[in-house]
Amino acid sequence: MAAYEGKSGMVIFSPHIHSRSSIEKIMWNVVLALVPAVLAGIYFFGLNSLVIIFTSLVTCVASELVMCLFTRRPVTILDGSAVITSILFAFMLAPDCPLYIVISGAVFAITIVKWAFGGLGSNFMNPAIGGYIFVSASWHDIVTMHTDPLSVFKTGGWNSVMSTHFDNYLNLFTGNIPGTIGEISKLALLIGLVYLMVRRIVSPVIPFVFLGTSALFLWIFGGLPFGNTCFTGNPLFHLLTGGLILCAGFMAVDYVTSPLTVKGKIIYALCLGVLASVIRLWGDFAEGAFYAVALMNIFVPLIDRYTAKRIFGYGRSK
Amino acid sequence: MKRFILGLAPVLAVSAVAVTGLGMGIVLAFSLIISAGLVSLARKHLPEIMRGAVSVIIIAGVVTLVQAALFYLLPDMSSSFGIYLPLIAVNCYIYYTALIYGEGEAQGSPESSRTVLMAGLFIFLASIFAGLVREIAGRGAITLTLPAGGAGTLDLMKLLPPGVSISPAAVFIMPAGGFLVAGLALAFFQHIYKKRA
Amino acid sequence: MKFKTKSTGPGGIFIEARRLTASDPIIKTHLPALVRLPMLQDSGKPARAIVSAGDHVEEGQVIGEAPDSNSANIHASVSGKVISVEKGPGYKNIETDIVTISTGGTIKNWYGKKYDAGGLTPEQMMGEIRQSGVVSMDSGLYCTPAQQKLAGITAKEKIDTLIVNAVESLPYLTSGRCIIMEKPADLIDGIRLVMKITGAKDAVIAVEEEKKRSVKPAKPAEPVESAEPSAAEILLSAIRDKPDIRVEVLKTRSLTGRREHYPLDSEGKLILALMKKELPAGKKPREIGIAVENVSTIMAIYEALVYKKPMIERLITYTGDFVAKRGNYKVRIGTPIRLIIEEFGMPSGKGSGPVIAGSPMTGMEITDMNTPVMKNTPGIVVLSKRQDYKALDRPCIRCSRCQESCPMMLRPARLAALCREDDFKEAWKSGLGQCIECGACSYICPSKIPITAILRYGRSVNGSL
Repeated sequence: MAAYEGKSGMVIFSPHIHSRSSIEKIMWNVVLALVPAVLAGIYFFGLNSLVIIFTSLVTCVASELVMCLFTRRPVTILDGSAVITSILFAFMLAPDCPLYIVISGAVFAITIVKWAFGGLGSNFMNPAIGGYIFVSASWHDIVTMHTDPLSVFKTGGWNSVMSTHFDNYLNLFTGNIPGTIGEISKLALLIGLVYLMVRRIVSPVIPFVFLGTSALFLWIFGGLPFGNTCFTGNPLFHLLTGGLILCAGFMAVDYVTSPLTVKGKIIYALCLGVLASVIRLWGDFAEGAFYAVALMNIFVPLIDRYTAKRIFGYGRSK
Repeated sequence: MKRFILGLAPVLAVSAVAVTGLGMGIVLAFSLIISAGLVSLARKHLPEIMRGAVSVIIIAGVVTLVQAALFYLLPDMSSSFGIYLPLIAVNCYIYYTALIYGEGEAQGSPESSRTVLMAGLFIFLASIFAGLVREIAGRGAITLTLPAGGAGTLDLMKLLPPGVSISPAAVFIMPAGGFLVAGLALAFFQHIYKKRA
Repeated sequence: MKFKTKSTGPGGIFIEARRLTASDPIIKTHLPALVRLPMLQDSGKPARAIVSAGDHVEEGQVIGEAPDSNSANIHASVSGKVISVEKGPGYKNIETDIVTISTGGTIKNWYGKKYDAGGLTPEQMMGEIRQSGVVSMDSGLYCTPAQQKLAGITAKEKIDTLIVNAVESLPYLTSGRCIIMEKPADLIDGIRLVMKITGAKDAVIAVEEEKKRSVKPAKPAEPVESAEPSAAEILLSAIRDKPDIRVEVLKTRSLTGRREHYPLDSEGKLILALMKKELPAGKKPREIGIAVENVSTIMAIYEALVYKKPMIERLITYTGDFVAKRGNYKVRIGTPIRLIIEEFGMPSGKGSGPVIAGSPMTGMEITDMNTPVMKNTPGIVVLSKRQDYKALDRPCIRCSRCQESCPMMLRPARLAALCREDDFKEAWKSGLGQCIECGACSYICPSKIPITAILRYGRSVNGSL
């Protein structure tokens, strides 16, 4: 057991016991929590989803391996973080997405968004979302879905939704609808999320505040794009469509890109809720949550700076 | 060996199409070398107080001449450069200041000439590189004569085996892609310099 | 009897405290064959050795003179012949003279005569304490000469309250609890004496919440035989008749009761829990009228005043998950740890790991088994190989667990990053001075970053600037 060798010499090393917590335990538990959604994607979309998820997985892990060797750092492909990124990235793609797009996005996510900025712990933005933005900008027409309930709602209003029978909330909840691989089954996602909350890996603050704010905002302003008055939005429909639950439960809560204190998390999630709703209602994209998270990730250091806790003994007048 | 990352705006702006990248490279290198040479000559014979203003006038003059020439000889290219052509003047001024004046080299000396020539060469190469990469990745084609997409464009998509349909990654012809390519090129050069050092 | 518990505020972690020796009685060890006495065993200045090789010394004789009134004397803990005076590591591994004495000669009975300490003035009491080399045995490894901490009537600051730290916060160690269980009457008298020295008007004893452990109550006016073990922390029915000492129970258990809250016994947090005042950064408790002492120190002061016994032995806890003969042992100061291990046995087979002087959270690993038990050693813990902590030093994933567990509300990961880059000015501004080096952050870090060691480094560098 080494002592810490600083410039002024050796220092007594303590403590000597540890709580047995580790990065692997956290990461692999998150992967476990994503398994229900993976299974749901395969169940509803068949083997295509499995192929996409598998491709994404292999590409991400291979990129991680290459970058570890290239930067001469210890090889960390087994710590689970690349696996999480690969699954989350695959979740944001449609089941008929061509594989070259999957591969490009995965490589971009790991190599550029994660490793070019310093590797684990140093990414300024969620790598999966970074990969998604890359593929969405590059192959916009191929990647963007037009048949999922949210897009149908955006283009045609509630009438289109009713005519395509997307107003069946049970279907929306279980995932029996068109959409991207991971976002469809809210049931599966929520099972995983609850598991993570129980294991104290994810703090419930961000998901609750994010979803709550979105629901509130969408209820108040949801009717405006269609010419209706305030308070005519349908928050339940909005919560159950698009990638909102996927984003709020698994991407906004990523440790590296979210604030450190509870107060910071609340502010972050509030802004996320508003941004995501605004993009959803008035933006070109159908699903705004991912872009909202990407934008707010950049503000997280600022939030952290202004929500630091008062240090014990420093008094209230600081 | 000095390394500078300066004045990338013109390169990033027009390198979405290969031939404009090439053209911008030539124009930049030419303007830089000619104006740097003239300014060096002039500064030697001028009192201190006039040097700054005269340098600016010379550079602006050179670029205006280039702009006029391009307008008459290659009007398509000139219009696709747009506002970035006069911007070259600012670029040249920055290059001159950083390369020679900032580094304290004697103006007009062989070292300074070499510096300017190398800078011109590298900016030319960078511009071609950016143009090629961005257009191949972003559009799947290489445009050899303007207008883009017209008769002089090599469509690389036709070279793919039948049955394989790949779309190019449109992000590369967007400004974001320009920065991405610039960043990757930078990373590449940093790596080489590190290996040499 | 149910007590209302007080909380020490946010922060801290819940760990398994492993009080394996909690009910073991105090056992005196045999005299060691030799003792090694470093001249520096506290944070004062090193004493000057006044004996040399070949001299005969008596137990209790001063062999190291304190250079000034704020440092502690060193006494011979056994009678015998001085073998050598040579350089070696002392307190905090600082090099100092070590006097090695080979045991032989008379054993003194210190407890034969009781002196009337109550009749002394506070100044006289301070003088006695200074003579006796008593040090303030805080948690962990830091200790200061007792006279430094006991300001009061004899110094500028006026003390109103004495807080007695009877909380055993460090995992594995139980020596404080033994004192409470076996000698509560002496403890109360000691508290009264310290109150007189400092001029405090009242005293508060902080004990921890207990489940299933019984503490013998004792009434000073009645013989000890009438006491019976009873439920939780009823220690101090001893003070029933005098209202100036009260007992407060601190909330120390997690919701399920299985784990204990750590750390509890830093001065600032105790003052917050008991007096509802927050100790401002950089100030000592005596500057706001509070004196904090712990139970072992008060017993040592009591023995110094009442039996005129200098600090020549102390209570340590020898324990570990696989140690056969665990217990709370009274050992002579200067006993090489090797001899203690020989007497009580090391665990075998299970793959014994490091031997720690102190508790596993704040102690120091002993690599040289000739290291003596010093005045500041509260115990010896033998860890198993499985428990041993390897600092993998992976990248920080910003999980903020260290921040949630810091009792002083700091941001340990950020401070460690600043110290790593030698940006001590910014680190100090961000609260490095308030770090109590409890080890909670390192304990909980999933990336196994040795935060505490880095912060300790940062604090020591700044101290010397």
